[in-house]
Amino acid sequence: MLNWYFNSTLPGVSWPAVSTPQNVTELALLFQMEQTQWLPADTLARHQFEQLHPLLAHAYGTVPFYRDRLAAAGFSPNRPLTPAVFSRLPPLTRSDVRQQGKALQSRSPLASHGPLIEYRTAGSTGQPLTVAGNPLTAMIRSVLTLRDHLWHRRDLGGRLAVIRDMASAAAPGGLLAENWGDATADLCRTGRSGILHAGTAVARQIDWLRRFDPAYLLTDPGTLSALARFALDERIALPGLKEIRTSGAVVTPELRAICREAWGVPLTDRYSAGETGDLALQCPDHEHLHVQSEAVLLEVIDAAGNPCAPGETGRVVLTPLHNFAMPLIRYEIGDHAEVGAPCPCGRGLPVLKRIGRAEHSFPTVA
Amino acid sequence: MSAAPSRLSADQLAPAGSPPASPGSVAVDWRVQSGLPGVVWPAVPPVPQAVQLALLFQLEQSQWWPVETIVARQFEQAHRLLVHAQATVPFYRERLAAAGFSPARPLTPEVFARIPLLHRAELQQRGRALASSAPPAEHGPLTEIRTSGSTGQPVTALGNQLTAAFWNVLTVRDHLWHRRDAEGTLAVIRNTDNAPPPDGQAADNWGRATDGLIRTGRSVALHIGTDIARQMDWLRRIEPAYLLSYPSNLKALAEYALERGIGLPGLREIRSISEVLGSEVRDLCKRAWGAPVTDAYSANELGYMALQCPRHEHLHVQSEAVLLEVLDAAGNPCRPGEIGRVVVTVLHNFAMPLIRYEIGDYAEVGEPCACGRGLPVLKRIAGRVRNLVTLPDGSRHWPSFRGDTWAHIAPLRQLQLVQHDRQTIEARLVCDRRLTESEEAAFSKSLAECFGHRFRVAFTYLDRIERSAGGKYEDFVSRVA
Repeated sequence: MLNWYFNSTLPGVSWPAVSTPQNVTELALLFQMEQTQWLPADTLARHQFEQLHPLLAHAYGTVPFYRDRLAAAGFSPNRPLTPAVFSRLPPLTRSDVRQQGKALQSRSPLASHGPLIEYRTAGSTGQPLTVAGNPLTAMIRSVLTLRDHLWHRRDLGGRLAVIRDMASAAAPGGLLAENWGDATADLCRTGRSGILHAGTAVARQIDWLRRFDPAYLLTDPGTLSALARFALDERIALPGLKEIRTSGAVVTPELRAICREAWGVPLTDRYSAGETGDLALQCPDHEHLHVQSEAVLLEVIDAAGNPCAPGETGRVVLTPLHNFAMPLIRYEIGDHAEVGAPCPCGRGLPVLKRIGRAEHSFPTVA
Repeated sequence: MSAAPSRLSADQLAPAGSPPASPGSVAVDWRVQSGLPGVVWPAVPPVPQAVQLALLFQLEQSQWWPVETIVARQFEQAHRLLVHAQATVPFYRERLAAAGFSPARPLTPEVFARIPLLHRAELQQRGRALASSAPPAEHGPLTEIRTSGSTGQPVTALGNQLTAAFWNVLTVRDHLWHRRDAEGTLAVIRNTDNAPPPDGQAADNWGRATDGLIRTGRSVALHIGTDIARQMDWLRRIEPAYLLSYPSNLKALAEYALERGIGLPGLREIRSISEVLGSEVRDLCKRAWGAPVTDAYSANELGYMALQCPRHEHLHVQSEAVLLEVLDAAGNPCRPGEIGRVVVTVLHNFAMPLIRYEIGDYAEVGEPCACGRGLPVLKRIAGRVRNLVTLPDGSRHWPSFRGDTWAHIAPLRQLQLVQHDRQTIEARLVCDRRLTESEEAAFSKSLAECFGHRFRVAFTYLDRIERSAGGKYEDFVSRVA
C-alpha cells in the first residue's frame, strides 16, 4: 500500500494534493508512465519514434556535428522518421563526445526547456566527460527515481542510508539531511537520509548503519559485498532494513544471496549512467531490469550493428529522448548487456540482464 | 484435505489492495496533449492539465488504500473545509461550534456526526447565505451552478475552477476505469440545448473534461426530446463507440431496436446518468446491441459522487472528492444491505461549502468490493423520497417493477404511476388503444403485487408522457407528503 504524502501548496487543500508547476508536471509524467509501462513493445517503439523525430529535427537544425550524419542517413525534418533511417546513423562514440565537447550542444537551445546545466561525469575509463542537460532532463531523472520508488513500493517515511564515494560525508556521523534528496524533497514528505563516505572502514560503516537504523540502504555492489560479508561473519543484524538498492556495477546472484542471508532483505538493482540518469530499473516482480523506454531509446547491437535477440549480448547504444540541450543520438556508452525475453510481468518495456563495462567484461563482485 | 484450486482469476493472483495482475487489459493508450515545444511523448502538458493528471495519479494510488486510510485523509481535508466554513460562512459558524468543532483540534468522526444535516429545502431558501465571504482566489473565479432538480424547483449553488477541476478529473477517471478508447465517437442524448434533430450538435472533442487534455474522437449531442425513431436513425448515421443517455431513454431505444432488429455495430459501451438504473435496462441494452451499461451517480451541485466499479455493476463512492454518508432514520451509518439517506460533504468546495448536505436520494450500502478498492460501495441508488410509495399503514418502500411485467397484460408504449393519496394510484398510460375492462383488472392486480397493497387504480390515457423540466423521467412518483 503506497501511502505517500504529497505536499500541497493550494490553500485549503491537503488531499488530494495540488502543488507547484514542477511537482504537478512530475506527477503528470508519472501518471502517463503508469499506463505506458503496460503498452506492447511495438506500441512503445512507435511512440519513441514519434518523440525522436522532433529531437532529430532539432539536432539537424542546431547541432552542425549531426547535420551531415543525419542527412547521410536519409533523415529529413519534413518526413516521419523510420527505424531504417535511424539505424543507418553511425553510433556516437565516447571519443566523439570527448573531442566534440561543447560542439555537441545545441546552438539554439529551447528556452522553454530551461537553462543549460553541465555535468561532469567520471566515465568508466576514468577520463571525465562533460555533458549538458537542462531542467527538463533533470525533471525526467527525478521522475525515474520516483518510478523506482513506486515499483518497489517504498515507504517514503522511512530512513534512507547512502554509502558512496564522498569525502565530505566522513565517519563517524556522515552527512544527515531531513529528506531523501532532490527527487522527492519538494514533492512529498519523506524520512531523513544519511550519507557516509564509502572509503570508511567496513566496521565503522556497520556501526554507522546500526546507529542510523535505516529502512533502505543505497550503495554500490563492491561496498555492499564487503558489508554483507562482515555482517555475516560478525552476525550483525539490521532489523529495520527493508531493502537494499544498488547501482554502478554488476550485481551477481551471489551478492543477492549474501544480502538475504545476512539481513533477510531483497536487493534492487538499476542501470544508470552519469551522462543520462537511469536507463533501466529492476522489475517489480523479477530480478532483471526493464529499459525506461519513456525516457531513452536503448539498443543492444551486435558487431555488425544489428539488434541482438533475447539471450545475446551486445553493445549498448543510447538515445535519451528529451535532451535538446546536448542531443546524444545513438551514443555508444561503452557498456555491454544481455537482451532478455519479454517479461512475464506483462510490461512491454524491454528486458536487460547482466550489464557490464566493456573494459572489465562483467566484473564479478561476490 | 482441500481440492486443488481451480484456475485463479487475475484479481486473486494480485495481493489484496493492489491493481489486478492482468496487464493486457490494464493500459490505455491515450494521446495526452503536450504544451512543451519538442516534447510529444510522454507529454509535458500545460500546468492546468498537469494539475488534472497529478490528481489522477494520486487517485490511481488512493483507490487501493484500505478504507481506514481513505477516511483518515478525508477527515484531514474536511478539517480544512470546516475551518474555512466556520470562519467565512455565518450559517455554519454556530452549527460547527455547537457540534464541538474546533480549528485547533483534529476533526473526529464523532464531532462530524454531530453537525446537523443541511436539507435541500434549506439550500433552496437560504441560497447565498451559504456562500463564503472569502473564497480563496487561488481556487479560481466563482461559477453559478443551477440545478432544476427533478422537482422543478431550482437550487443555486456556487462552484469555482477547483470544483470544476474535480468534476473533470472524475470524468476522466471514469474513462480510465472503463478503459475507453479515446479515439471513438461519443453520442450524447440528454437535455442539451441547441442540439435539435435531425443532426444535433457536433464537437471535435468529448467535452470539457478531455478538451485540451487528451486527444479524443468527436462527440455528437441530440436533444432528449427527439422522438425515438429519429434518435435511432441519428445513431445509425453517427456510428458511435459510446452512447450516453438516461435509463428511460435507453429503455425506449433498446425496445425500439429489438422490435425492428436494429443493431449498432461498433457500439462498445453505454453510459447511464441522471435516473436510477435498473437491471431491466441493462438486460435490454445487452439484448439489443451486446453493449454493457456503465452507471454514474452525480449531481450538478455536488459533482460525481459514485462511479461504477470496473469489474462489477455496483458503484464506488468517489471518496477523494466527497465524504458520502448513508444514514438511517436515526442518523446512524447504514450497514451493508441497508438503505438510507445519502448525505454528502464536498471536500473541496470553498465557494459555497456543502457540509452534510442531504441530497434527497436514498441508496443501499454494499459490502466491500471484491475488486480490492477501499472506496466504499453503493449497491444501488434506490431513488428519491418522492419515489417511495406510502401504504395506508404509513409504511413506505421503493417499488420496483420491470416493464416486462405488463407485457402479457396489455400493449403499453409508456407508463407512469403517480400516487395521489394513500388509497389511489393513477396509472398514466400511452397505448395504441384503451385497455379493456379485464385488462385493466389484470393490470390492477399486477400493480398490487408490486406495491404489496391493492390500491384503487385510476387510469388516465394520454398521447404522450413528457419528461420533467430537467429532462428526467420517473416511472413512479408519490405526491403523498
